[in-house]
Amino acid sequence: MNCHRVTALLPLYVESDLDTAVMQEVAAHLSRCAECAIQAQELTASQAWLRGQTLPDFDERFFAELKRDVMREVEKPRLRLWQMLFGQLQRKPLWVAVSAIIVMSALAFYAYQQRGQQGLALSAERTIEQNAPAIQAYTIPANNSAPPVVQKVSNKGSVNASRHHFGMRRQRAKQPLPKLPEIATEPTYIAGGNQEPAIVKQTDTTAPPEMTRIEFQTDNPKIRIIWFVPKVTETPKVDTE
Amino acid sequence: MSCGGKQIVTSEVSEIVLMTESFEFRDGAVQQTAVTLLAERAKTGDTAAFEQLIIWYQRKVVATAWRMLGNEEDAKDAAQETFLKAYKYLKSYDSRQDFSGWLYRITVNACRDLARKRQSREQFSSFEAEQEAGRFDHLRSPEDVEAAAIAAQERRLITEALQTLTEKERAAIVLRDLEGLPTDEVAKILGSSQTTVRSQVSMARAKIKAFRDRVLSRRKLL
Repeated sequence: MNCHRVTALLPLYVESDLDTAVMQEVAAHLSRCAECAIQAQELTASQAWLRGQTLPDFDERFFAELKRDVMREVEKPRLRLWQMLFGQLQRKPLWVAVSAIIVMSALAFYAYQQRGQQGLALSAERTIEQNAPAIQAYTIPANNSAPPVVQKVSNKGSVNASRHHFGMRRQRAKQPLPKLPEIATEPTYIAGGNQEPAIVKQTDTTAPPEMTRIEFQTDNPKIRIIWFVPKVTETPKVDTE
Repeated sequence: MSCGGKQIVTSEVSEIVLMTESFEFRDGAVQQTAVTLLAERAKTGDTAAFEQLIIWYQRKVVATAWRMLGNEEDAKDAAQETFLKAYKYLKSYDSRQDFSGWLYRITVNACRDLARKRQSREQFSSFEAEQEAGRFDHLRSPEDVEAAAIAAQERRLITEALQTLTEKERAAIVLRDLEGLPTDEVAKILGSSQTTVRSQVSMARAKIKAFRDRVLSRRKLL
């Protein structure tokens, strides 16, 4: 065992915290190495210095106060919630009554607001159902020879989406929808398979007057997206002098 | 009847106390039995039994807390917190385990919590602070006061030396070297392995020696 290893083990050696075999090895090294032996003596003296630390003179009053404070907390009766409320009611009945009124008012206001929002959501859904046109999907043949096949798709999806938004999807999904106006407009056919997507805007004359029809040609020539948006009425410009 | 029940409980506590007084309290078996009996009674809400446990352990708890924290006020707060936590969690105490070790664990945790809360406070007790607290009022002769001042100075130095350690090293060396607990028990209290405790204690002893060397070299210069 060399000096470096012994120096590392000395803090444990001086308090006999090493295994017997290692203790013997360190002791053997110390018997023949004066430098390490001095370090061991210094560590022993340091440990004695540490152990020589006297505690401050805690008198009986200190401990009596400590015990008294602890026991006061321990013996303090633990009140339940209803006991605390009842105690307050006896001591400050006016404050308790006012607090109760405030809490009840807040709850009533909250419930009223929730009902109002629910009614608003239902009326918004009805408006969408009445105004939304049927969405049409067109299957366009790749060789441009056959006429486009028109498939009607109900507007259930859009209405469901609106219900989902209001968190009422499951309750009202099975109700029959009102009949929607048919759209007779022929779709604009765009030829070519790999051309850039083209956006075609056209005002639908047969659709309800407040809706605008938008067609969008994707990369795939067989897929075209058509949708309707409410028409934005432009406010007339007023020239003022 | 409840009053009668209380009297019976109290008499049982005093019987336990008499039992320990008739033997040497250092007798581990008697002590453990008495503490277990009191802890069991305290679990059922018997505050007299818990009060007796406080009387037996308050010096040990305060000493550990003072060594960990370095001043009396914090030591008192930590000791108070320790006993309140002990009472609160007494139901989780298993009678088969060592009550003293269980209480040490609570003490160390309470000291750690308090040290984190009060990092800004003056950490060490000084001679002046002890004098203000009236610790030397009973001393008559100037020699006694001088000796007390030297002791306070030395105490402060050792406290400073302990404060150079990390929190874990300090807890390990306080329990191992100052409280004199075996390494395996220290490991249990700190919730770590014996190897870790040995490593922490070794590092702490080396640091304390380095601090003392610095103090001695400064004194030589003066």
